Amino acid sequence: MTTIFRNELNFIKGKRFYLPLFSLLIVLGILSLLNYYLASNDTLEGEDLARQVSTRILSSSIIGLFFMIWLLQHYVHLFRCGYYSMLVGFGINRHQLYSYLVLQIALYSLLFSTINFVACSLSGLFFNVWPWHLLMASDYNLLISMQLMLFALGTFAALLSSIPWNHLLVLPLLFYWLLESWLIGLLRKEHEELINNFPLKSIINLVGSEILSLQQMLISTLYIGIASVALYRIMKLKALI
Amino acid sequence: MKALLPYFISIGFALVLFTNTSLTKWHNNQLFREYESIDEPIRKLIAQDDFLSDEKDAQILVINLWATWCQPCQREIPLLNKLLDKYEQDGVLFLGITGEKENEVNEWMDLQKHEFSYFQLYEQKPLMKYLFELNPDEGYKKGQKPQALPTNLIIKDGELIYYKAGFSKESIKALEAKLSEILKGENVLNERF
Repeated sequence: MTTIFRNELNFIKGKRFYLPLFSLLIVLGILSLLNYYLASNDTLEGEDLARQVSTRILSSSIIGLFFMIWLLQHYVHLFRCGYYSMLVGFGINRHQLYSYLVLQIALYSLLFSTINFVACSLSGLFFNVWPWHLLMASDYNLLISMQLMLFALGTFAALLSSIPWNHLLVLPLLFYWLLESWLIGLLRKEHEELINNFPLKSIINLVGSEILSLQQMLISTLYIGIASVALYRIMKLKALI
Repeated sequence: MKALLPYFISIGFALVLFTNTSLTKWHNNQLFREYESIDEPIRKLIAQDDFLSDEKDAQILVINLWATWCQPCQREIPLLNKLLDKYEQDGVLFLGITGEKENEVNEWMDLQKHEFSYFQLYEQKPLMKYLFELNPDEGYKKGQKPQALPTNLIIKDGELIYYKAGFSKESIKALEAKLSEILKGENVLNERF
């Protein structure tokens, strides 16, 4: 346990970890600036503007794409450099390895949300919105939904990183994201019930404006379940190597 | 047991998701618990207004949410004026509510073909936000419901009778049909007693 904790701290100190985080901060900052600019055109200011912007950002699915790409490149590096195999060599069993992976996903999603908050706070200073305005105005239900979405996307990212040819998967992931969005736009008018069954759409619905029905919740859970089981089995195989 | 770990994680995810969704639904309904009736904030404003205070006892409120930049709202003005001429004597209060300032609206009005015949409340963004939340479509999270302009509502005795976002001639006909249905029901009650 101490070894794992020490390893995580060493990761965070490394350039390979904090440089992508810094670029994420810039990208999320630009996104927040755009949201502030668009929201302030309604002559909102202070806490009202903070509420509007935090609602927009916590309902945005594009943030999930950034998170998924970041996590994918991080996990691909960990798998390819043999970090998890090294942990197995040190005596960690496959159940512990899987639990560690799940805990990493949860912690990275919290870290990502923190970076998002920092980016929003910094952008808000240009519009006289202070960080405590954001804290007071945020809807915590939306925050939990965002965390659930990030956890789900993180699980998919971890699964993709654990399969062969993982270093080539960033572009196919981006293409799939765009393709599914396009297909959903095409099918929306005539087959509205069908579009909620798509894997990415069912996860993005977690932060959508609609309250989820029981069927939608079950479909999202099913996809997470499949991804979790697949990841567990792959970690089991890797642990035996 | 340990082999069931991914299943436990999925069940945990489902539980958190279900709890969060239930909390969101509860939070949606919380809006109405602050007031004794849903038209309480509107009646307070009417009672405080110099011109409107005489109308504070009107039982039926027909509310139009609009803005100067909204073109369909402009097309609706003469149609609502006609409804006002027809139903004003039946104790129906027609009210236009906008988030813009009175002088800005007056400047804009000077360039328009049609003028309002009904009362206006200006600079009422919080009230508009509250009225948008009255949208009976429960499928949306609070603060994220579609806020289309124009939106027309009928509130009778503290109860939301009609809510329609967007403009079309059919929607104005539906509004009129609802209004005459309410008034017919009132007339039948009056005749009985």
